[in-house]
Amino acid sequence: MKKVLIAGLVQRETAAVEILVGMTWPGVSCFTLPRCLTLAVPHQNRTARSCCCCIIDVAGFGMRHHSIDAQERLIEFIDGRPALLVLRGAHGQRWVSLCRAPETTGLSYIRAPYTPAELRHALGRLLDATEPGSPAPNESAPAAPVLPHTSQRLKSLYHLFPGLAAQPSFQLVHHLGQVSDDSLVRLGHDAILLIDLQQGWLASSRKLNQLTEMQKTLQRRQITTLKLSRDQMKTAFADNIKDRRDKTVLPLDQALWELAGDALEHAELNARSNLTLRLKAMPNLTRLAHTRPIDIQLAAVCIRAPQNLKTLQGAFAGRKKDVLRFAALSLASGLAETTSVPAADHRLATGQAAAQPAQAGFFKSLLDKLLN
Amino acid sequence: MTNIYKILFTGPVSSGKTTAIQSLSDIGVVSTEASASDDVKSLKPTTTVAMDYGLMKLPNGDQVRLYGTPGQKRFDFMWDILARDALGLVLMLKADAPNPVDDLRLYVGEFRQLIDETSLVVGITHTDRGGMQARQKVARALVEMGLPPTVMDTDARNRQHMAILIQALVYSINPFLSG
Repeated sequence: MKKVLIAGLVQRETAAVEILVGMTWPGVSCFTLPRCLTLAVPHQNRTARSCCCCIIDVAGFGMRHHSIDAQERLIEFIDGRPALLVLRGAHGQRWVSLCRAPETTGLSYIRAPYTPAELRHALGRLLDATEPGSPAPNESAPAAPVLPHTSQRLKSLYHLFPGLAAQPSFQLVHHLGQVSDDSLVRLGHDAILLIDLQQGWLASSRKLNQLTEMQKTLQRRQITTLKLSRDQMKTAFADNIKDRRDKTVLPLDQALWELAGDALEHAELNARSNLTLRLKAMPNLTRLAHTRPIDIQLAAVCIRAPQNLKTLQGAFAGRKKDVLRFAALSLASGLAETTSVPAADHRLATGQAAAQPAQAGFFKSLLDKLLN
Repeated sequence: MTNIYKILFTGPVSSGKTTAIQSLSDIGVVSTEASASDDVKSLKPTTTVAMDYGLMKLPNGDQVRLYGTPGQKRFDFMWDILARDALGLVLMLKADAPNPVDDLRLYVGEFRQLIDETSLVVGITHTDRGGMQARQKVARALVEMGLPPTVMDTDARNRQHMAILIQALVYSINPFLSG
């Protein structure tokens, strides 16, 4: 089991790091050298020395300011291991610009205050750096997911499934996925949709099942979009939706999932490439017209950590098409994005170790009960 | 031999805990309801004061006991007792509450140890009255707290909804089960 040395952090921050490590990497444990009252560099016992990497608050070592002496003592403490330095205040930047460590020591930095997501990302890179042959962490590498924007998300979807963009039944989802402002979308003379990106809903003058029927024959040229201001949205809703008998108002991700799901119902999905999928939010599975247990299962796996598509297909060997369908719907609905964060080992990406055999029998029986 | 497991339901007053247990239970729910006093009276005439209890009898002979905590904070001495050895936590939140994220933070804080040791799913109820942003806000807050955003809109009266929520809980505990 890998061990991470936490040194110089205050007690509360130490606990937070331990929780985050435990939740994200169940195969990794932490060993702590508490911050000394004198802010001195703590003595390392054998367990501390056996840790594969370190998280160090330099302020807790009495080294808030960079100096050659402080640098030498810090490097001696790190002893060639990858290390994440927690920096505080304006003086922290001087550590980044002045610290000269041997090439074998992979130093990375995180500036306090940081968010759990930033810390998790930095820790992920730190742990990666402990793998043989891994490059040392690089401060300049992007911390954010690679494809955060709507159009880029579609790009990522089409990169994975190149044939999808041209598929006639996918034109409505394609169009809605490109909307980048609050908008009114007209589908010929048959339906009006309002998309509120700020609040995350879609309103339609027609029922969802009518829209899914319409999208089967809809031509791209029949779809027109008009950007709306907030005031115009209210007026458009009152004029076009509010009093319609067949009106529908749904969370946007749910509407896109349903439309994309219907459009892909008979499609043969062939992935051209591999990617790492990060599920940002759970599909609204309770409200979907057709929720299958495999979708719940895949959502539960992907919601805990980014997952590599090929690994996922390997883990669900008999359900490869379902994995691809889930990836396509997650991307099309905006719930997922591709990411530069390395995927977790699927065996480690869950909150607990595998259940005991007796418990596995129980879980299966519980699922049987819930499915009937 | 019959193995007995436990799933815990928690959440604020009138978030649908008792109803959720009723939807899943094979027996009539044993409920310790009492006439509401104080501010709860404006929400509902009676409220759970000790716990709700339901039971799922599984095909293999095992049993799942479904426990609901009292919603009011002043009965929180029951929470620790009920949380012991639970398989996981189902948190019910009201979309039309003044601030569902505040409620989330309160209950996650109170049950953090159980959540870290097991798993959490969140069901958002009363979405017809609370707009559509509650799920998104709660998901964001869960991520900020370092937790997976396993949250869905839910009608506690709907067995299918509750079954999906419990399936999500089961798969987050043991994700590679074949159904």
